[in-house]
Amino acid sequence: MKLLYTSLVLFIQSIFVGAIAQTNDSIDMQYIKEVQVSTKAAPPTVLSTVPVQVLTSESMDKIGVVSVADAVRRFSGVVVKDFGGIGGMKTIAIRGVGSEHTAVLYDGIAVSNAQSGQIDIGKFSLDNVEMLSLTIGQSDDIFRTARASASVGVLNIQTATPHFKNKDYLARLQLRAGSWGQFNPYLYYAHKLGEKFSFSVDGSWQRADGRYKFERKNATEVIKGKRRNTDVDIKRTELNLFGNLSETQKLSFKVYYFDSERGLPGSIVLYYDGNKERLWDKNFFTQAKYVNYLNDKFNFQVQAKYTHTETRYEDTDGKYVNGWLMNKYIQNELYLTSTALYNLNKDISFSLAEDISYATLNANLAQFAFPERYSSLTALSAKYDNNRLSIVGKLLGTYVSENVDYGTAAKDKKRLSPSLSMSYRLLDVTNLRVRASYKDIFRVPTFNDLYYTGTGNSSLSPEKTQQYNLGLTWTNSFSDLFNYFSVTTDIYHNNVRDKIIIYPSSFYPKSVNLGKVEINGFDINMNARFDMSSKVNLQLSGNYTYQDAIDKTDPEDKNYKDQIPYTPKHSGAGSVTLENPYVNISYSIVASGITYALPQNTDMNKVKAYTDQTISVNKSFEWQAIKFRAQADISNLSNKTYYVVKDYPMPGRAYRFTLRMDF
Amino acid sequence: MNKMFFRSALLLFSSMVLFACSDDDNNDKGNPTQPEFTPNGAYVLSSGGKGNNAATIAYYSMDTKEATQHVFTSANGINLGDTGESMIAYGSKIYVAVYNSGIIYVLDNNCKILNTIVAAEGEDKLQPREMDAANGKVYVTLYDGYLARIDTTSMTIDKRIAVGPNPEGVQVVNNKVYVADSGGQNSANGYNNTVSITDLNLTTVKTITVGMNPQEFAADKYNNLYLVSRGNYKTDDTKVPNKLQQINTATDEVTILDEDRTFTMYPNGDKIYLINKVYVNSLPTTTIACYNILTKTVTDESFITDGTTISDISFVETEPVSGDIYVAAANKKNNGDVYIFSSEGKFQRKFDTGSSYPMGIAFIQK
Repeated sequence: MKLLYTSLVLFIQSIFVGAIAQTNDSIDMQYIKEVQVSTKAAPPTVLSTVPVQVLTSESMDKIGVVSVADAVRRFSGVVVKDFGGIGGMKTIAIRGVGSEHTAVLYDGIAVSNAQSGQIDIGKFSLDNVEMLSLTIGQSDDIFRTARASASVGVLNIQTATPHFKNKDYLARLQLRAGSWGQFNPYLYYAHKLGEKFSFSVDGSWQRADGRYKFERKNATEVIKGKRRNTDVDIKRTELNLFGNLSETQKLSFKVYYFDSERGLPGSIVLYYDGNKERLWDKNFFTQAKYVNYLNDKFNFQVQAKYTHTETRYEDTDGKYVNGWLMNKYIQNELYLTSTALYNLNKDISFSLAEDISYATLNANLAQFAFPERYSSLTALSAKYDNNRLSIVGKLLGTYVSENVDYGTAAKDKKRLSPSLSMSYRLLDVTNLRVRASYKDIFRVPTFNDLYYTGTGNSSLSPEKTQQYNLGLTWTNSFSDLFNYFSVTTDIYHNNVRDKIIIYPSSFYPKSVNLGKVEINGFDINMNARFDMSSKVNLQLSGNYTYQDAIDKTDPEDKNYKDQIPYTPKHSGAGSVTLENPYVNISYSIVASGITYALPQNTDMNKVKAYTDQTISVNKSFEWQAIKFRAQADISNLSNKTYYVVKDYPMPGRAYRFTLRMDF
Repeated sequence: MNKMFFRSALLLFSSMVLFACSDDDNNDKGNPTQPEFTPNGAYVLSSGGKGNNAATIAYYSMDTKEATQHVFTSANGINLGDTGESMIAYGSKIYVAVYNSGIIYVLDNNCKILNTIVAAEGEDKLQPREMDAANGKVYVTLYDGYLARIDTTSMTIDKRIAVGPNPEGVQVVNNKVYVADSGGQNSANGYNNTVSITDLNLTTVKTITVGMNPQEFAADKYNNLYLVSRGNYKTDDTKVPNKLQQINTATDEVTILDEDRTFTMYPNGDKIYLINKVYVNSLPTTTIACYNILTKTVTDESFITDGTTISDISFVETEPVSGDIYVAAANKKNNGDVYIFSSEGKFQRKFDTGSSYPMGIAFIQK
């Protein structure tokens, strides 16, 4: 930790020295205004009282990001647990806290999974995504749902809203093909319906056989193989209706459907390769949102969502009754939320959000609990915001009640969770801000934790977390050439108590509240842009994360003070993009230090460090009023098999070509 | 499974006798006299947990009192595989079942591979669980519903027969092979409640009804067979408790001796220690009781007499010459331990098994 502080201090000093040297040279100091450079309504990463990271569709296109998961792993402080390949599950864990604590919002409304509590971000397509943003801690935006405040961090996936210019429709056709039989056509059409309404509809199909090569060390030997049972077939469609009812009233409505079939290659098992497991997912949801900016003082919004999710799992093996196993799970959820915002004056505002939801889980299992959950979340927020100082405070009240058809229902859960965050501009002369935040939050046990046949334990308590963050942010424009520079750096401390684990006993396993984790770390993010001319520019971005996430459960344990599983001490990402009139080129890298697959930090449990490098080139041109964009990406340049999750190899070098046509 | 390693040691001895007079067809289990060889080492198999490819074998030298981890890997240059399930020593060989890798290793005394038994091309995966040996054959249960027989000379499976669902424990006694048909993959419908009984040549099978979820056998020196059925592991009002049962090997009649105190058995002389495991305040806790086979009563007596507590005992074996007690214990997902107690139950020392979930121990003489 000492080394960490020293290096942090040195680093900050070096920025200042550099900055002073620069500013002394330049008489006309070009301080950029304290606004986000992007033209999109992105959350301000530098002004924010908590760490916020943003990737726009434009920047993702530039660096050749292939999926939501591939984008998210470029954020600092995040581990994307990736089981490899297109069909492999991908979940996000923030700053050493389990992935059940990360909320995923799709256009502002939470995507829920009461069964496992984990959202597989592998299921979302990047095709119609306008922006991804990750907020760690409490968001500064207080005009949002209560559920958006009920987690350690939030990934918001923002889809595109059509902007019509000189015609009343927009259309896009995109074809993508690549290694291992990847084929991914995408079609988008938007139409303006009079002055007030418009709609968009899109659909994509993604298929791949996914049979990539891998290598694995087995003591002194090297196993070379090809992944089997990796095929995916994913269909996705979405319909959006947008209404600007009046100057102050907005309405939006969405229907989403996802249907997939995939083989599950499973982990590499030494001496056996014959996994036959398959998984079918169907996900339907519809959501509606009404916003009324009534006047300067008072705004409110109402949203509703209905979700239906079906998961079917099949396996064939002589050990099952009749040699076959089929598990089917159906989840339904109805969710209503409303938020009122009151601006006392231009600096002070308050909001009150109330969310209620009803969720059920059905399964084709004998003696299944068939749980249903009622939850109510109430969030009261206050915000003070002027140019110099912003403070956001929030109090979240949670009430959860459950019933079961079979067995014992969990007791009602009531809890108050406070959070407080601030950002302060230190000096008039430069955009240097200090920020600090505290958040206390928990997760309720999932249906699997509580009622899963065998391991379920309905007497579980919530898993509690506390987050502390202290950071510095700075943004500057040095000259016409060195147009933009920003740096954000945060040190943090998190702790997790009553961690829910499946007790991995040698006898029957059971979910229990057992585990304490302490996490200390720091993140640094940098972005820079050089404009050589109006058409040539160089963009650089990089981040580094240090996480010391150790188990503090019991001094008698062999893993006491060991780094928790799948949490690298060191990780980072970076990219360089050169835009020019000929062909745009980008290089990016994701790197992770060693992790451990199991709690005890032994050699046998070690998962090696890795880097994954991508090169992407693209060229845009117009032909007969059609805008073309052609892109080629090569991912995992070094073609070395690496592992995020032990024995789930990631693909080697892969090629991908994309042709996009905008009409 | 518990008793198997103790028996293996005896079998090792017996097989030596067999080699000396190979016509001797007597069942070697019923007569647990002191073996003529003196074990000076013990191999310990650890499962490593499913999906980790972390099965491993440690070697404990009784001469140096030192344990060496990962001796299979050192001897063979490859790893064991995924989920070490069981291990026995028989004759001059050691048999190791690695369930999820679908493999049975036949090893020599130095852990060097003599042969590997896997499913033939096009056949379903071999799913070996537990083993017992008699008359030059090793009997192994296969989780997809078979009992297979390994010829110890050719080191291949020479015969198999269908038994009940998800067989676990196997025991040869009185020239019969008893198989615990657990039904472990059918927990939703109450597991299974039969024991399959076949002859040494695996020609016919008959079944008898026992308690829910039969798992492991042990035989005493009077040729009595004991069986643990583990019930449904539940703690609410749908609970079916575990049961200690006795099977009369002449009539195959089943008698329930005790309930709710036996997850696994440790026979020692005229006593069978009943090891039970429950969760107390989210932590696994092992309780020990004792069934006296002469008085047919259960008392609170433990084989540990110095107050040492071990939270999650996996199994217990006796080193046949010294009578030292080897207690294997799991530590969450962390590496397991073997605690060594004197025959009087006093703690001597312990060693780390090199991976999680110890599954079996085999005493050998190098």
